[in-house]
Order: sequence, then structure tokens, then C-alpha cells
Amino acid sequence: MSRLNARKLKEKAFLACVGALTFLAILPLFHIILSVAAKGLPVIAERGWKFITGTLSEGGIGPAVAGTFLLTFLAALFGLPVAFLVGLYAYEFPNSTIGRWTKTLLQIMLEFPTILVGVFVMQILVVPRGTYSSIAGALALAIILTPYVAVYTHEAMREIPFTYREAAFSLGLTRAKALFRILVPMAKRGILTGVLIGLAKVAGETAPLLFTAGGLYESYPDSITRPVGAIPLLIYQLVQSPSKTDHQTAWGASLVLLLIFLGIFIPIRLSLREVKL
Amino acid sequence: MNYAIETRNLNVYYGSNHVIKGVDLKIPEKGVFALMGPSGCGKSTMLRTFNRLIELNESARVEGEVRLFGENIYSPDVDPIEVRKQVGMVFQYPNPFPHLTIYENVAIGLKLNKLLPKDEIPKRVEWALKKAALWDEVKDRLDDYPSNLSGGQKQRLVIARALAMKPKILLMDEPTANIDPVGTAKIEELLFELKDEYTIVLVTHSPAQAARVSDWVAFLYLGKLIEVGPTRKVFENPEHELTEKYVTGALG
Repeated sequence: MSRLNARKLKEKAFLACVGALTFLAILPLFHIILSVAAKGLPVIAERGWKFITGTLSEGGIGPAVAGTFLLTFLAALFGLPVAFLVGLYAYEFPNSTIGRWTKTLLQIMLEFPTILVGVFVMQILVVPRGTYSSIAGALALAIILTPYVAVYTHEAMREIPFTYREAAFSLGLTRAKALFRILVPMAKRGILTGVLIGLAKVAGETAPLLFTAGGLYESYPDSITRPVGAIPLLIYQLVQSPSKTDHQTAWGASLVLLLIFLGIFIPIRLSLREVKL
Repeated sequence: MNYAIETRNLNVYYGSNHVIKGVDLKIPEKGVFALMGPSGCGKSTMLRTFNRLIELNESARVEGEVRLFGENIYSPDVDPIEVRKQVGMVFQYPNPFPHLTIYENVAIGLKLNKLLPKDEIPKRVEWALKKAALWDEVKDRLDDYPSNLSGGQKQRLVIARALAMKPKILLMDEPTANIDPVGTAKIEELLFELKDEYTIVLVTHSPAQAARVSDWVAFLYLGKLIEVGPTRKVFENPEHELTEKYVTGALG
């Protein structure tokens, strides 16, 4: 009887331990969300719509919001087609030399220090052209976006059971038709997940923009060859300022960034399930 | 006599693994020809040489000849894609495309291969579904996805998908292995109806099934063709000791 109790006690203690550690691990997430909401909400409530649309001297972050959307859009435009095709290539030719290298290189790119990407783009675009620009910022973000989308595309394609590949080819389809008309549509949810995760990631990036985007907070961006602002970049700059108003603006901007990020991320997790096989 | 399928000294290797060992086989036109044998004897591999689907496996190497209606499909000027358009295939796992509706699953081969003018496709889809004895069960839900069909219905949908392209030969790789007994009976019934018009090659690991549905049977063991002949003869009066052991259940 006492042995049984000791065994049950041990199990309870272990469960409590695992539970406490799990709580500790996710605590920062909730703390970030709550403190950003608690400090950002009053700022936005006080300044109203002008916070989202106005320029910095008007107490708003409009140009930065526009800049973030512009940069994300351009990065998607540059990065998605390349990333998608790279992922497909790695799936379709896994044993070719390039295919094997592609997989390894993508893994490295995934973990690559993002600031180095910024330095690289500065050297090839910003220095020669003599100015920061949306194009430079977007190129840096596209380089960060590419491995996410490529790896997710590759994984999504690999999850398709081999029997469907056989079925597609048994119908007398060419490789291109089997791939693009049957297998890719089958994996589209997985691929889309990768696209959205990549977009959410680059929408929140700061380091690659430091030497490439430049910053633009007193007027809206009107050309992709001129400097542009972004919410994370603005937060970085405002936090370094001694002014209290700037700090408040930074908290408000943080909340906006968080909402954009969650707005992309939560739908992925909720609605994008795999195709029912 | 012209055979639907004829192999001459067919050898298949996976890497250095020799899985089909010098098989000479003649499969007559029309009727059900069963390829039976225990698991791993090479029957699925052999089936995949008849439409060159084996080439999806990069380590596979085929030597010898496979002739479809007299033409060697392994001769260098033959395009495997054209071969596959004339040879339908049904698989061990019922695999209708899950992201396409029931209708689209049957129409997809016609559509992507541009085999029919657009306005004739609906009629052909109906024809194929009727031929596969599925029409009555799905005619009111052609726009549903196949995930709600039973295993047997999915398999008949795959049969319809293959039939829609009007192939001359139908390859079936253990089509009832993952189907319940009722669904199995329906598919076997279907074979009886189709065999007057098509050459059906049925791979099965069950001697009982081969005895029930086939007109001719070949017994494959460890990559070698042991015995081939009319089903009745092979089952009632086998020439080879291994065949006798297999059909009486004494062998895997």
C-alpha cells in the first residue's frame, strides 16, 4: 500500500515539475503580449486614428506602417517565385548534386545572422547607388524569406504519399503537368503556410533593414528607389531617444506590429490544416 | 498470335538487388490475367514495367523487352508518357486525388492530356463512372470530395479515372488489399464485367482471389516465373511443386 502511494506521489511530483517548466517556457510569450498591449493600448486610444495614419511629428506612425507593407509586398514579389521553384527543385531532384546542396544551403540560410544579409545588400545596392531604398530593404528581406518558403514547399511536397505521384504519372502526364497541375495543388496548404510564416517573419525583421531601408517617418513613401521606413526600424530608433513621447510612440508601434504579426500568424494555425487524404 | 503484353528475358534490378530474374511471359488479349505470389516476390515491380512506371524509382534498372501489342516499349524511341496513356493503373492504396472533386478525378486525365474536346468530357465522365459501377452511388454528389467515399468506392473511382482515358490494358496492383469484404466482392464483380473489353492484369497475393477472378494465372516466386497457364489447370493440376504448395496455402 505504501509502495503504491510512493509511486503515485512520484508521478504527481513529476507531472507538477513538467507543468511548471512548461509554464515557465511560455511565460515570456504571454508577458510580451500582455505588456505590449497594456502599454501600447493607452497610447493608441489617446491619439486615435492619427496614430495609424499620421506622420511622426503629428504623433503617428503612418509612413512606417505603409513602409512595412510596401517592404513585405516587394520582398514577396522578389522572393516567393524563386523560393517556390527552389523548393520544388529540391523535391523533384533530391539525388542530384545541386538538389543535395540546395537542401543543405537552405538550412544554413534559415539560421543565417540576418544582420549579415543587411550588410551584404548594403554593399551591392546601397553603396553603389549612394542611397537607401525600398528595393534594397526588400531585397534583404527577400533573402531572409526565401529559405522559409523553400523549406516549407519542399516539406509539403515530400509529405505527399508516393502513391499519388504514381497515380499522376500513370495517367500519362508529363513531369511538368504531374508536378504543377496535380502535386503542387495537393500540397498547396503546406506551401501557403510557408509563405505566410515567411511573410510574418520578414514583416517583423529589423536587422536587415538597418543599413538598407534608411527610414522615412515624416512623409509616405512615394518611390521604391528612395528610402523607406518600417515599424520595427522605427521602434528601434524611438527607444534610443531620450524623449518620453517617443517611448510612448514606440509602445504603440509595438502593439501595431504585434497585431500585424498575429494577424498573419493565427489564421495559419487555425485554418490551414492538411488536405484530407 | 499477338499478345497484349509479352516480356522477353525481363530483368529488373534495384541498385545491385536483382528482383525480376529473366521472366518470359505472354499475356493474351482480353480477360483477367493474375500475377500471384507471396509478398516480395516481385509481382508489383513486374506490373510497373508494363507501363514504365517503374522509372519513378531512380534506383530501378530494367533489362530485356516488354512488348505491348507487339511494340517494345523499352526501345529508345518510345516515349513512356504515350505508353502510360494506353495503360490504366489501379493501386494497392485507393488513391483518388484528395484535392479534386469526384467529377474532376475522373476528368483530370482527359483534361490535362487534352484527349477530348471540352464539351465531350462530361459524357465521358458519366460513361466511365457507369463502367466502374459507381455512377448510381455518386451521381448526386459529383462535386463532393472523395474523402467521404468508402474504401471500395474510392477504388472504383480510381478505376473510373483509368477507364475514362479508354486504355487497352488495365493494370491492378492488389486493388482489394485495403478494402473491406463487401467492397472487395463489388470490385471482383466489376472485373467480370470489364474483362470482355479490356486486358486486365491483376496482381494479388491471395491464391483464392486469383482462383475466383482470373482466366490465366502466373505464379511468381523470388523474382522467377515458376508456372503459368489457364487458372483452372494451374490450380487443379499444377506442374511445379512450389505452385502446389502455394495454392494449397503451405507457402507464405
